Amino acid sequence: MAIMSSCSETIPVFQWIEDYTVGVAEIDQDHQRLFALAESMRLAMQAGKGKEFLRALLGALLDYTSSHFAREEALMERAGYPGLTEHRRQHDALRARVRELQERAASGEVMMTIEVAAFLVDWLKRHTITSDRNIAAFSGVRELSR
Amino acid sequence: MELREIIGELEALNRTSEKDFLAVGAKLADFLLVSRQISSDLSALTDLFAPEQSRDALHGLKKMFERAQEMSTRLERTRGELAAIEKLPERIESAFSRIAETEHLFWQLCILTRVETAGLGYAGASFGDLADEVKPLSEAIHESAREVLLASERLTASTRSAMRIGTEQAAVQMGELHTLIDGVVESMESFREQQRRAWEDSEKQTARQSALSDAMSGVVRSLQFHDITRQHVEHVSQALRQVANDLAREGRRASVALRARDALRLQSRQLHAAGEVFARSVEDMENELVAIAGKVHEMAETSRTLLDLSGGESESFFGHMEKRLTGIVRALENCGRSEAAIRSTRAELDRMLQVMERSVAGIRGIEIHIQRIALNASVQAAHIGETGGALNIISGVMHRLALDSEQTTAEAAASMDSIGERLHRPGTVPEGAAAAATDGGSGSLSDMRRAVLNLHTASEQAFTRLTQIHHLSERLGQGIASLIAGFSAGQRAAEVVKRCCAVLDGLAGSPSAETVSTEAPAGDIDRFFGNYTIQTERDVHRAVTGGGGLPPVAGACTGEGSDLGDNVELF
Repeated sequence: MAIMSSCSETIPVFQWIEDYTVGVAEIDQDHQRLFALAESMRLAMQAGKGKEFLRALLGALLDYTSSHFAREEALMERAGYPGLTEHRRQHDALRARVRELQERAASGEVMMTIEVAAFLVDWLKRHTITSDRNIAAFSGVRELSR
Repeated sequence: MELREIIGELEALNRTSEKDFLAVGAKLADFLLVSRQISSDLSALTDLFAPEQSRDALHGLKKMFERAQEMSTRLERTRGELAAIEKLPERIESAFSRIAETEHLFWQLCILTRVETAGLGYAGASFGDLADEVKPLSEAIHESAREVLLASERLTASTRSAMRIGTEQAAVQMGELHTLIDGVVESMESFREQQRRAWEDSEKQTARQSALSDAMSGVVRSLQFHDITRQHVEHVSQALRQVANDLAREGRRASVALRARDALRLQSRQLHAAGEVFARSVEDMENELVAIAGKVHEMAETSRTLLDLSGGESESFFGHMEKRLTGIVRALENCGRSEAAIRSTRAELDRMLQVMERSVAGIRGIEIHIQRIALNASVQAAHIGETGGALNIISGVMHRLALDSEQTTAEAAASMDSIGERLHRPGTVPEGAAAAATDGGSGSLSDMRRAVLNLHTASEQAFTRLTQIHHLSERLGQGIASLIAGFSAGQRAAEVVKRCCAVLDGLAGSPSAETVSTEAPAGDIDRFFGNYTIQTERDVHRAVTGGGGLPPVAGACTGEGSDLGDNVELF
């Protein structure tokens, strides 16, 4: 992401830290990628280039929802995670929201960067940092990650 | 507890507290970095929320609304003109409604002419031309009139379609735009108020940031003072080590034992003083950190309020702004599309009008031709005399019929003129070059769109800065809280100092030191303690860091009859 390097002097705001680890390398890498996307969006918006970055971000988010969610759901199934249904419901809602945002962007709507950024922050807070860490706390997942 | 154990404990205390304070120092460096970032964000935010920026933005919005109102008025006028135009083809249709009847009459007159001329024989031979000429002409009139009627029907349909597609939809869109404009105009003052409040808050945030920097400097000072205290403890350990060495070498000598007891008392007092200073220093630092945490919390809360995050992503102030701006751009684009649709329909109407005008011009020419033929026939009938009377009547009727047709055509032509005039009436949707000039000039739709996008970008940047301030403040607050929670050097030092002082006091007065004189000159120790103290260093340091002048160090340090020793480090 070129925008990231051009503003590298600022302190990262959306940054994955060890506290957020799920303990499964692939899932943690995905989460790091999501944080990096949020950080890129923040930097782009700060540089006044949010609208230019919007489509690329939504495309990346859509890819993310299909690959990462599938990986996470497979892991929960293997581990026999009891909150799978609720977690899957959250994934479906996020997927639907990303699709809706992407459709709007594809139809030419550009003034939605604030909405997208707020959605992404909410996603990180409510889902990645909170719900996904509940998975990490589940003993079945811990055993799988050994 | 042995003297060497105390030395060991004091050295351990110094090592661990140094580690703790180094950790605070390292965190402080991070905090300062984050604090500087917040300061830079605040400065950018203050610029974005500056009243002149707000004024410019509002001015831009007002201009946009005026332009939108103009578009609205133009569309309304066009709608009115199209409504009037919609009725005009009826007149044309009504005018030409009897054209078939007229043609039939001409046809009958032609038959009568042929009957009469046949009866006249050779004398009426030239009247055969009248029938031959008039019949195709009347048919041509009929054909042209039919073309006009067809064009008129299409014109009616196009006008209705323009009314529906161009103006009725535009009216709905304009209604939406009006609602949006009303909404924005209504919220303009609150927007302004919000901007003003945001600006004031960001000013307050800047003041908080300045207080935060001061508090951080306070922590730095506390760290530096702690370093002096650490030296103080180190001096005590050195002195105790010296005492221990002296006692080990010459402990049996009374003078040595006496000096050792005095030294132990003195070091106990030194240690006690160092402990008190250490405790104050730690308390100051903790208080400063708590104060910083409080300020950081305020900053995080203010940013949160400005972001209006409590209502969720779609309910925030910036979210509302984004929706409004999107609505305005969408409505402007729809208005632009409606204007373009109307321009296209008008061009189509113009083309139909030209077709009708060409047909009507043709009809007029034919009518004049028929009139001329009828006039000639009347003249010829007059030449024939009484026997040509019937033909005279026929040519007269034919002439009148042509005149009637001319009048009808004139009525249709007047309606068409009226359509043309209404189509191009000033104040309606501009066309062709005029539209291009408007779109290319300032205040064009593309300019307005650009202005709204710029406004949105400014809003987006303010949102980003606030988000950053919010997140960084939260992170800083959490860091400080965990630092305070994990900082135990104060308590540990108090425990160690208390324990060591008790042991030192015990050793100074212990029966095992019975060879040591108990008649220690307390006054001398007090005097010595008063001078032999690192407090002087603190005073110097405080004066220097506080920006004041140097205290009378020399006098204090080289007090009457005393020597501070080598281990007092002035810096």
